[in-house]
Amino acid sequence: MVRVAVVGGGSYHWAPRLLTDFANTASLSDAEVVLHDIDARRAAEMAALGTEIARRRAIALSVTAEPDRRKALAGADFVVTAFSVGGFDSMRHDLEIPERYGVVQPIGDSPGPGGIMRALRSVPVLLEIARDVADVAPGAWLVNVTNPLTALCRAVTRETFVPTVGLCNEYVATTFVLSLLLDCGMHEIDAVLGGVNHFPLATSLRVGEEDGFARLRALLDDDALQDSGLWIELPEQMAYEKVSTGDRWTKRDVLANNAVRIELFRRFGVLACSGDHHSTEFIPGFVHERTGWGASRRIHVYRLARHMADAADDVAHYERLREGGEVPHVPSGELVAPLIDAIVTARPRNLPVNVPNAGNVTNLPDGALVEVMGTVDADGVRGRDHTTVPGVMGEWLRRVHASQELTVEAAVTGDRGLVLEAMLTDPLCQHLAYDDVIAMTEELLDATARWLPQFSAS
Amino acid sequence: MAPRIVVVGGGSYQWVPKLLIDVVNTESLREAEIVLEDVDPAPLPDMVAFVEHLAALARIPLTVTATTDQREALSGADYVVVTISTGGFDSMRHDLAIPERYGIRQAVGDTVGPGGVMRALRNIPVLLGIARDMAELCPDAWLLNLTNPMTTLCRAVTRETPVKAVGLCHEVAGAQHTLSRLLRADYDAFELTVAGVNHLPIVTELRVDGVDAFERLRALLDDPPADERVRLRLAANRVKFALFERYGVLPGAGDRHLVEFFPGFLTEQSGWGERWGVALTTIADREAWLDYYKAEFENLRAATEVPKEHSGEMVAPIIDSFETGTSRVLPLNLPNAGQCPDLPVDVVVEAMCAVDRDPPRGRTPVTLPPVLAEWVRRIVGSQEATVEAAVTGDRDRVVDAMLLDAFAGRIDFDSLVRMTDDMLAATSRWLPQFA
Repeated sequence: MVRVAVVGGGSYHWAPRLLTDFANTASLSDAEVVLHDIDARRAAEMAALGTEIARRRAIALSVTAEPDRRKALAGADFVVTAFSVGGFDSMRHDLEIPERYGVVQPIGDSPGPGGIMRALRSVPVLLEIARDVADVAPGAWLVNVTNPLTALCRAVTRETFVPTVGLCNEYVATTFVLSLLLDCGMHEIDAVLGGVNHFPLATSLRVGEEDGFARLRALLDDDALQDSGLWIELPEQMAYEKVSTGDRWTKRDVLANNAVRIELFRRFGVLACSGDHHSTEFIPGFVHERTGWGASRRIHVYRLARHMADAADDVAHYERLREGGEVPHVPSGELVAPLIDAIVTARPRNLPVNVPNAGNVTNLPDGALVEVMGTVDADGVRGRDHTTVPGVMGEWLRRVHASQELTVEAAVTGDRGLVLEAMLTDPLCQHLAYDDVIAMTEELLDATARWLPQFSAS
Repeated sequence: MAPRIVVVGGGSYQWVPKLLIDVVNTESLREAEIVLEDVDPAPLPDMVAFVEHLAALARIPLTVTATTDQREALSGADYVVVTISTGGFDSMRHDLAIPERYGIRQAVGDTVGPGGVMRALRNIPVLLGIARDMAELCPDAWLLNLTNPMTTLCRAVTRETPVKAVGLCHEVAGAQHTLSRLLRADYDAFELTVAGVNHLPIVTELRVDGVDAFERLRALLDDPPADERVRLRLAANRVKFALFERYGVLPGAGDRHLVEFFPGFLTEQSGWGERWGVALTTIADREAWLDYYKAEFENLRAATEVPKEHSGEMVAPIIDSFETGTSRVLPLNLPNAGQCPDLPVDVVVEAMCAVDRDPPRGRTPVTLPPVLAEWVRRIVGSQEATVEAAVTGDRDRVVDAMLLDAFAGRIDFDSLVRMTDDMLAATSRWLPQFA
């Protein structure tokens, strides 16, 4: 029987998805799941949901809440971490302060000033968890889904010996976009990836036995083909803007709503396997005042209101599930359950994983935290491929990595000067005046000081 | 045997007078054979007469000839000094004006930034033409490059030809001069440790008579004396001292160059550098300098003795070391063979090198503070793309170089692509490889 501890187990976003996926996964349907949250009431609420799901499905899945973190972690085989230090109270500053200085962040959770600040808040908490894992659940896998994924996983693998993997659903979402463009099934798509989280870069692509990049290029060269319809109806939550005339959605619409990665693919032959709202936080010049902050390429800029609306949707989803709605049989698209399944059943799977570089991405040093296609089996998780991201995109990747390393160093040491260096090297801050980067950094550190104990004067 | 020294761009009012005064004042070069070559024949007779005048004043057997035939000039050369500017002010005008229309103002525009990229595209094919002729006509000669952008030009030669090339720049000497005044210490008492690229050479250690002088510099910055000259000197170097206070190492080039590597100092809200005491060098400034060089040249032609003051340029000293074996330590731009372990091998780096009869070489590997190492690596990334663009004549590679340049984040992606197109179009007559 597998024991899974979830830290941040009271999350309206994560707990319903994870519990449903576990219920749908044979190897996990009798798992012992322990939910821990600093909000004990929420953890208990989610444990009740889990128990209800097990009852409705008549499976042995056991879900309990444990307010003591070390007790929750004790004996775990897998520890899932899904938390947000300070929630929207802190995130508000991540978005609003930089915007006053002329930095608009589509999301604000990866690099960029917001991503840096989020890392500073979350790294110390995750390191405490990791040290507890080493102590009371030695050998357990730490499966992190908390953002910024790269900086957080890097901090753990840099500072502890805990086996760690970061998981994100962006690649899965990309396979759906490609399935729309290339008229194929998502499972037929396989990419060689070299990148970091939210900027995983495909250097080659297979669709079944075919060269996926050749098929994508053929589509880009074929105007008539772009006017053809989609094999499946476009899910509403993709929030695409229709550019084609006529009633039905076409491939042209899909291309137009992925304009940045298509432009980059045309120019550099490398495909960003994350949405444009993420990848444009890794590259200067797309979310720029002169583009209407990304509007010219339909980049979604979330801002706090959209993040909060998403959170409200999560609550509504949870409540529907609790009030007796059907427990969905479709996978959530998140990769936690597939990863655990592959390890415990020893049935190998290839999944996009965030792990320390072991020669997989030649642009980056070994030990750097990279997102690559991984092989997951009884031996755990490791990168599958070795690849080099060519040219400009390889250099952009290297630059972001440098800023992320500074972020981790700053988070671990509590050195304000290093926070500034991370900001100065960040892709979204390259147009700012030197004085403004200093002032913005100070303002961000001061506004969120209560979540940053490592920076308080000793 | 007397060395044959060829100056390509030998009609330059800026370079020929000072370089030749240094040569005439160098004992080992008194019998040198000077060849002045230029695509423009107009200034050559005056230049020849001037050098003959110097030799007569110094009573030395040095000879001088002039030609517009590059291959004739290079035949049998021992040293080839290159001081060219393809298209001159006519082309450079576009390097500054077009980016300005898009919101990018450059302090100099000859190193990095859109102007530095374009200047490399124009000069690299010309320099490679010289180097290829050298490989054929004087394969053992040294190419001494003084032309900007120095890093990408030297890199193109060492990447594409077997010719021995070194880039010589006076910026480190200028910084050393500033420091000698500020710290009231003799210029020759300084010992510098340097790593970086041209116009961003970073002094990682500074000693005066063997004693650490960064400590003294810090004390001076913390509590500057009331002396007006010191105050002015500090004000004229605010960027390098801001970087020194931040990183504990001192960029050893003029502030107007440094701000092009750290464009956060060169923004609209800082008055395009004014807040940091940086003035933008305009074409009008350069035209005024040229007028000054020409006037100064006329004065020198009428001189009754050879000026004794050394120009601070390194052409004569390095040739003297090559010829006599006299040991010197000079800041040189050479392929990275371990001088700068933070940077890729083979890219051209600026570091203090030992010079004597053997090939010049770095002394010890010099590492940079990690954050500055990253800034230099980013610059190298753009410079490598620049060289690739210049050599291949591929317009997309020019966009690559612009996208990786430190100014790139200033404007949006589409504007940057359009700006690149505009610059290529406006200067196309100097860019045959893109035709």
